[in-house]
Amino acid sequence: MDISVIFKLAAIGIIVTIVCQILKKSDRDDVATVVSIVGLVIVLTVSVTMIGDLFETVKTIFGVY
Amino acid sequence: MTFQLIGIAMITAISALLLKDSRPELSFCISVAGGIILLLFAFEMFREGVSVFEKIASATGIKSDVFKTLLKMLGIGYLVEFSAGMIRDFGQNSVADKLIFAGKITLLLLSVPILESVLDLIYRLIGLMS
Repeated sequence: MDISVIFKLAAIGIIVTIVCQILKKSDRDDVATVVSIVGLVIVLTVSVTMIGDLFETVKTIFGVY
Repeated sequence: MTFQLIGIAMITAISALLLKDSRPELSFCISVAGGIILLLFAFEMFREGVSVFEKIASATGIKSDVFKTLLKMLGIGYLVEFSAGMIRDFGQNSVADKLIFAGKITLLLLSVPILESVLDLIYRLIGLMS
């Protein structure tokens, strides 16, 4: 668990933004929305798994059931 | 160690700021991920401290389940604080306050058995004296 995760998420965000801009300029707005939704899903799955790890470690350390 | 933590917090803040205007929902996820990394570092450091506390607790002779409840209350406090801050990031202040209120109630419920053990200790002392 180190900083590379944050860089990956930031990179995904930037790529999605750029691709959406390009698609919007070449007036393919439907593809742009699909790309942004896909980017959002990827980032959400990564952060949800991290939240799961956090709750797991808290459960092991503090014994919270 | 602390510089590492400060570095992580700075990087998270900057990358969240980077994506704030174009993709606000992604910047929320980045701040959540950064917060989790910071917390995991803190819990790793805390893990060594727990064994010291356990030795002290067993040395003083208090019952081990009292110490376990204390640890549980600490964990619940951290979790509620973390998720309330996250919800406040999303802009829902009222939901965060309700979550903190519910967290306090669960802590209150957890402290009831400790209160009982203290009370019956006092009764026994009074019984001895009178």
